[in-house]
This record gives sequence, C-alpha cells and structure tokens, in this order.
Amino acid sequence: MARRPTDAAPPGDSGDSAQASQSSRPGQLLGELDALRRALAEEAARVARASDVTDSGPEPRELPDDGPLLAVARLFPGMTRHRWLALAEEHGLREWFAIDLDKSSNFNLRELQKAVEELAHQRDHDPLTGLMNRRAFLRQVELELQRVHRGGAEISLAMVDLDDFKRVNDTWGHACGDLVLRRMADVLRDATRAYDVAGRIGGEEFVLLLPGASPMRAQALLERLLQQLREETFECRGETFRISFSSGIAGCKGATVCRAEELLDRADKALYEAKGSGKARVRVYRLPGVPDYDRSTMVQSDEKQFLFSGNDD
Amino acid sequence: MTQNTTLSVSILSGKGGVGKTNIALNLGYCLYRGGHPLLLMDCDLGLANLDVLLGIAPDRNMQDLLDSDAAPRDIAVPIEQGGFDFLPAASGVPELVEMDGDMRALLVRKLEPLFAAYNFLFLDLGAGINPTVLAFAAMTHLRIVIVTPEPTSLTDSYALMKVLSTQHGVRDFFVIVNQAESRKEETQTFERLAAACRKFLDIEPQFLGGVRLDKALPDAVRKQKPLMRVAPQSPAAQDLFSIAVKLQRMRAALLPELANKRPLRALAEEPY
Repeated sequence: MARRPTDAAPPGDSGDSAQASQSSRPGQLLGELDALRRALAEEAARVARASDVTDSGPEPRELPDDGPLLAVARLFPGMTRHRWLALAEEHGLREWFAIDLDKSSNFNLRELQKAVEELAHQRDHDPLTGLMNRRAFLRQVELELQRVHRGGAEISLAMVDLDDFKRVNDTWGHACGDLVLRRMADVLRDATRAYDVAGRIGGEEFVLLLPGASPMRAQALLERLLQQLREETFECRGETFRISFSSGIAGCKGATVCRAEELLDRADKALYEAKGSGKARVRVYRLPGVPDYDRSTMVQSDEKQFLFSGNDD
Repeated sequence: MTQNTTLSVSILSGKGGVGKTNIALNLGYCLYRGGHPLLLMDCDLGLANLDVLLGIAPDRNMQDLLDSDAAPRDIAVPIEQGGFDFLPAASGVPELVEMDGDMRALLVRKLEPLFAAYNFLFLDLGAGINPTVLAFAAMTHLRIVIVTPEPTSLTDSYALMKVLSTQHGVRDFFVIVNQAESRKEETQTFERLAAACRKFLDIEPQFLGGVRLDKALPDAVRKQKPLMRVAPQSPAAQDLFSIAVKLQRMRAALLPELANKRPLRALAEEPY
C-alpha cells in the first residue's frame, strides 16, 4: 500500500493545508460542476414530476420573465479567462458563465470565498485532529458506496477505538489525552493512500474508509498500524506509557447495496468483538450464518484419513 | 446443424507433475495412428507446456484468438501430418489462468468451427482447482483423472472430483493410475480413490487403465518426442496403447449419443 509522505506541518494542520490547496485544481472544479449538473438534472426532473408535466421534450432554453431565478457562483483562484474558455469548450460547459475578477475591485469577493471555504472546512473537520468529523465522514462513505455499487468494486471501513483512553485522561490530564488523539490521527493519515478517508467520529473513536480494499487487506493494514502504535512511547508529566487500539472492520462488495450507517454498524459490532476478546486486536465482521466461501466442497479430515489408510480408523 | 462426431475428453489431475500432459500427448498420438484425427488443446492456459514437450515454439497461441482476428485454423499447429494437431496456449499470462466466464465462452465460440474436423478433442487441463480447470472439465463429454500412488496425488484428485461433483454436478470420471511400480499398487491406488468417492461423494469412478513407471518416458521427454514414436515397445507405451484402444471403442459406442451434442457443452451460466 502506497504511503503518503509525512507532512512537516504540525499535527492537525497537515490535512488542512493539503485540502485547501487541492480545492483549487481544475479537476476539483470539473468534479464540482459535474456534481452540480447532475443535481440540477435531478431537480429539473423533480419539478417536472411535481407540476405533472407529461411532455418529456427538451426543457425550455429561454429565461422566463418572472419567477425564481438563482445564479450559483464559486471563485476559482489561479484560473484565467483563456484557460476557462478552453475547459468550457473541452467539457461542454458552455451554459456556465464566468466573470473575470482579475482587475476588478471585487477583492471583497476573494475574502468572502476564503471565509466560506474556511467555514466549510470547519463544519466538516474535527478541530483537534483535522480529520473529518462524523457527518462529513458519513457523507463521504455514502458517496464512495455509490461508486462501489456502480463499479462493482470493493470497499472496507475500519472503526478504531483507543484502548483504555480514559486512563490516559485520568492519570495525565486532558492535554496528554489530546496528544495521544493527535498522534492517532497522524498514524491514520500517514498510513493511508490519497483516496482513503480518515475521520474522528467520537471522543477516542476513529474511522478509516478504504476504497478498493478487501476486509482482508484492511485487516493487514490495521494490524500493521496497531503494531506501529504499540511500539511508540508517550511521555506526559515525566512518565512514559504506551497505547494500543482495537479495531473492527466491515466490507462491502459489488452489486450488494450497502448503507453507510449499516456498514458503520457492522464495523462497530466487529470492534465490540475485538474489545471483548482482550483489546489491542483487529476483528473483521462476518455476516452471521453466512460462511465466506462454499464449505461443501472442502475435503474433510475423515475423507483424507480414508484416502491415506483405506479404512475409517 | 450437421451431426457432431467429435468426442471431447478433458484430462485433469488436481496435483501437478503426475504425467498428465505426457499421457494426453501419447494417447493422442495412438488415436491418430489408429486413424482418428485428433486435436490436442493445451488448456493449461497461462502456463503452457505441451509445446515444450513437443519441442516446438509456436509463434501464435489461443491468446491471439481473444485479442485479435486470428482464425483458429491459423493457430492450430500440426504435430503429425494428416490429423494430429495441437492448439498452443500462452505462457506467462496470469490473466488467462483467471479467465472469466465471458472470456471462456468467447474462446469456445471462436474455436467451435475447428472441432468438427476431428474425431477426438483432448483438453489438457492445468493442475489445481481454479475456475478455468473446473469450467473446461464440466464442458467435455468425458473426463480422465490422472493419479499416481502418492498420497498427495490421491488427495488432490479426490478434492478435484469433490468440487466438480458438488459444485458443477459432474459425476462421471475415468481414472488412469500413472507411475505405479506394480499392477498391484495400481489397483490399490484406484480402489482407494474409488472407495472414498463411493463412500463420501456417492459417485463411482471407472478404471480406465494403468501406465507403468517406465524410464523410457523421461527419455522421450528429453528428446521432446512422443514416447509412442521413440519407444513404442516400452511397457508404458503398451499401457497407453491399450487405453487408447478403449477410448476408440468408447467413442464408437457413444457416436449415436454425440450426434445431437456440441463438441464442448455450453455451461448453463455461459451461453455461447
């Protein structure tokens, strides 16, 4: 599994800066426009259904004289008018119009956009670790699950819970607890690929979404991370201690429809099992009563015995 | 549809290195000499070695059927003039080993027009129980399982028959015992396997014959020639000859039944 190079920025900060710079890439813009285009098409269909329009001809192109009308704008730093025209031509975005703010006095719009981005980031991220919060993470899971369903791919979700975290807080104080939480976040961030998503969804509860990974691969990754964390020493108030986590993994594959909440729930069950069987371990969720392969074809020991000896003893 | 006269036989083993390819090649040679045109298909897709056994290095193989417009006629290589041909497979192509149902169906559909010219179609299957082996084994009219007296060979071939019978509903198997040191060991080996099949799988495999351990065989392999050609009087060659005679009789008896069948049965989930 490819590792992302460790950022030099302080913990909690690295994710933020990486995300902020990503949002300015043309790829990101095109993705957003595509999402918007789809959302608008759905909306148009909904409106058509609501007004009981049976005529399914092309929607009218001309602007109505009255009625609701909305322009949607987003600033795109670094983009020139020429580059936009080329993009619009290439990706069929001619219905979108662009205003060149380069030499205008609308600098306050830049500030506004900055504030909006900051707020959006704050809304979706945990301030302590910089990881996605529960709501943003769930949204991401839903998105990835749709992709899995469309592409017949595979995805795994790991729930990670620090072992005996209360003891850390009680013994060395909350500042020390925060240190451990930030370190855990870093371990998750550093170990993952660009398209993996890490989140903090509760006090000492983290999640890792691994698109394209089978539960077995996810398990191998989490076991490596657990090993790594257990080898580290933390120091608080002159004392050193070690920490571990337990993890539960659930997977979803291909055509079966998975819900985010359901996937999370299964990972949680596996986590519960990991905690119950002594902590500091990784467990994979298995559907009750469904073996992961067809056991009817397996050669049993009595069959082998019979082949070796020619009798039943 | 013209009446089919091609009898398809897959040759399988579960365990590798039990002499499967050699038996396929030499049985094929016998039948050809007995006047039966025969096509030998190297179905050890991805790790072919029939060509090596024959000392030829074909420049085209079945892979070309899948990704070009090559005609099967151009890919078949004559081993002997006048009706003993072989279809080479590619070596070193992992994708072929894990061919999916669609790819298999496409391959079979492209090959089918070629089959009619032959009395026999031999499928030399790879070792193991991968989906390709299982699918091809389920497609042929007959299946011959090669075993040696070694416990590993017994277990692997039993596992193969168990998967085929429980998962693919294939319940008829012929068995050749290879490399036994005596006729007694040969019978014991078959009996042990047959007894396990009877007891646990409720199937009754048929003994097709034994091929004795014979050092003439490794000699022939080194010469890259069929044993039947370089040492037709050797014990192993004579054993192979009597098995070939049985196969010839079996085809004759099956001919009326074959008439309305395809050379390779289309699997339910793989329409072609």
